[in-house]
Amino acid sequence: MKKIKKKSLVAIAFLIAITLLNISSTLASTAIYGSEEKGYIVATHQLRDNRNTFDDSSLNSKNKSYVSHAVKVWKDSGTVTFKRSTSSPNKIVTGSNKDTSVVAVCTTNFSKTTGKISKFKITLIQNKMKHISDEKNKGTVAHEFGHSLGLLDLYESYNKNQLLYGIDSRKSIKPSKKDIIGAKYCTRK
Amino acid sequence: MKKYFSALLLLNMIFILASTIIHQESISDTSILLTASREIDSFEENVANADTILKVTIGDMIQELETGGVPQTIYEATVLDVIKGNVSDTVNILQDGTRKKPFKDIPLFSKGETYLLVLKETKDVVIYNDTYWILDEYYISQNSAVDMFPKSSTDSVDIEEQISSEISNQAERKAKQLTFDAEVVDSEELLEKVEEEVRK
Repeated sequence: MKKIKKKSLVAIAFLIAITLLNISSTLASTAIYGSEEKGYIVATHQLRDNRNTFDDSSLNSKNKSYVSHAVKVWKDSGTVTFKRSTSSPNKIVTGSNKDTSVVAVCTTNFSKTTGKISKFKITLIQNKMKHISDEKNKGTVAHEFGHSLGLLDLYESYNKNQLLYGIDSRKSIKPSKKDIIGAKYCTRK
Repeated sequence: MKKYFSALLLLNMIFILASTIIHQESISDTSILLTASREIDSFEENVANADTILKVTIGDMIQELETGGVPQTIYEATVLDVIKGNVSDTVNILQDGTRKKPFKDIPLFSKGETYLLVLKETKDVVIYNDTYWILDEYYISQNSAVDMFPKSSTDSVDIEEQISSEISNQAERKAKQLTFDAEVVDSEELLEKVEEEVRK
């Protein structure tokens, strides 16, 4: 009888341990670092490594110039160096939608358990971008590169000066000090 | 007693197995996150540019589209009130995002929800007649309206925010789904404001 009780207790303890493991795994996958008040928000513990390559070979020269601006400002920020490579899984392409308010979209694929981004795709919606100034488009593409690192949009008006401000009236076309703090968290070892 | 402990043991094993299967599924499941840069005009500009402004109830999802770069979904909607334009009793609404690829900033419609939508007729997506895309979107529940599009304070509709005790529970829940601090306003005041802007 005692043996059975003991077995049962062991099984219950094992069950609790497994449940706790599952809970901690779920929490890790939904955690957020930073806040609006801090001026940067990192999604789901997304991590990046040094393989920050991308393939923009399908873009025209104008779009490539926006991408070059984004690469430069992120490099100048001292956080991450993006490099062109036609074999990269990370693509920068154009889209043709007319019936949308979306100017550009960043799609990131990431692991629910580790949070690690496996690849990203930035789509530049040409029917929208052609009506927008070069300066704003440069800011938009640099903003999307921020998403590719794992940074989320900011919406409070006091964050207008951050590159990751999510509304197109953002004032900055390069990463601010606060964007850099967030990006450093994303790319930490 | 022995039977009782055996049953307990069996139950525990089932729990462990189920728990592990769920855990394994989450390991193998890669997640997709879509974040967008949007061009969002002011309340006044949106009202002026709209082909139609409607209060609608969302019906069935008709189709999900993956063309053009932005994943989108077409919903059928029943028109409850026409504030601007001239439309039939049912229209189709094109929303950004699909079930597999929803956008982080604006949640997908659910069947039965009521919205005030500022709309533009589609030029690209012409699979169905009377299809409109969204310039601006307000979720309506009883006396409350939630501004679903992220905007700077100068671009929002000029109505004082509702004090929290007057906000309907559903509106409060909807506002909490958003990634930004959404404005919740009085739905009647919003309708009056839109009608006033249309008359200008």
